Amino acid sequence: MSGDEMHELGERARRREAEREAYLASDEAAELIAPPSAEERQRLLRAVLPPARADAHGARRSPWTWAVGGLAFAAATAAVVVLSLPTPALPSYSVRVDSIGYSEVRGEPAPTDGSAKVAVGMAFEVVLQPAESFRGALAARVVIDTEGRVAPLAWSPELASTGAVRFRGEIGREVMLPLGRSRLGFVVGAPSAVEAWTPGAGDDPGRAVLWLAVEVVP
Amino acid sequence: MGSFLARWRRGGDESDPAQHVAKVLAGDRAAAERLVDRLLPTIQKRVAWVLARGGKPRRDDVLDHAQDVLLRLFERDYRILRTWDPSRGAALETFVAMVAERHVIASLRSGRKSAWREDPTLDVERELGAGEADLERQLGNKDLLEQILTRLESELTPRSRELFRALFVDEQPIDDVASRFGMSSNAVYTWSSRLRTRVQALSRELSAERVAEST
Repeated sequence: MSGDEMHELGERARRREAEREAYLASDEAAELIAPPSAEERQRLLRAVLPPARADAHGARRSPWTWAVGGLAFAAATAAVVVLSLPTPALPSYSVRVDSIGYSEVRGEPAPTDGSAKVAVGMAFEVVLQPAESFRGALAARVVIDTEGRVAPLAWSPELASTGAVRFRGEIGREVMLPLGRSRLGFVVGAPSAVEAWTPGAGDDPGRAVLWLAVEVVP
Repeated sequence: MGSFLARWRRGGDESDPAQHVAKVLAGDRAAAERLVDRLLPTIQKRVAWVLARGGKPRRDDVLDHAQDVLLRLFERDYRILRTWDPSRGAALETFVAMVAERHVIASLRSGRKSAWREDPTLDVERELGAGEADLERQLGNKDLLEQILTRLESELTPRSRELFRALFVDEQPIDDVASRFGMSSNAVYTWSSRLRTRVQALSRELSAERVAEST
């Protein structure tokens, strides 16, 4: 793409901005961008601000409950759930990478072996998706297998009320992965079963272990 | 007098976005609620615009996505909001609009309507029907440049989009951009070269997809 074409791309961006302004001034957009009603506003605030101060009455429940409250909070929550509910069976889980891969960014063919190719500095997002909603107590953690040596990986999960689990972070900052090839093992399930898992442990109906091959490039 | 009292009650001048954000980052819950009120109109507009490029959005869709964008800004101790730096020249609303646009496009790209799904099995169905060609159709992109622009909007970080805007939309000289973004002129030039390379790759990729689709 030549300099002229980059200029044309800039021109196109300017035109798009003009179209946007025209659309936002139209009757069609008026309803969509009208200020929220008091009820809509309350619902938004309850969803996006910390729940400790929120009024739970009639709240739309957020599916993502951030695992930022610390271990004590998680343990307390799990204890409450365990005491108040029968333990449901863990559904099967699948693992997928939700972030844009290195190959897509570079315009290269994507790996065909199901592995993820990422680069230092890129956002990396992995989702563990249950086959059906799971409302029981849940925990998750990650291990890294480098040439047969398995070690814990410090990477905090985000737990959804649906049972989905999300890991996000920037390679080289929140997610410290070595350059080259390795395997990530995502352990998900009942907190005690997740805690008890070791590389040699057998199957346990209370947990699932999913592996994802990754290649990290500079 | 009334506005002075309002400022006094808030404990700072929130008419300055930097001060307002600083209060939120310091844990002021009331300031955070007011920040939601401040940013929501900008987010609604940008979300509505992106969704409208692919059809006729409903108000519920706009508010759902707006909620996701706010969560994105606030989660993990305001990680994304903290990356806004007023000294780099972008207004808070401009920064948030970029975050909103990128989020909605990425959401459409991944086939997710919103992070607020309760039924996890819907995910799979949506993903199966949400390839890149679907995304381009959803966004109503007719020609190659439009498609490249849309892809760039979803890939570039807010800071990179500001750089793109400064260099190719506002056509500011490299030295001015370097000074504004606190970079060396060489670094801006290198970034610009990388962007051209990426645009070339996108051009090839999208052209190939068009050929494949037409056959």
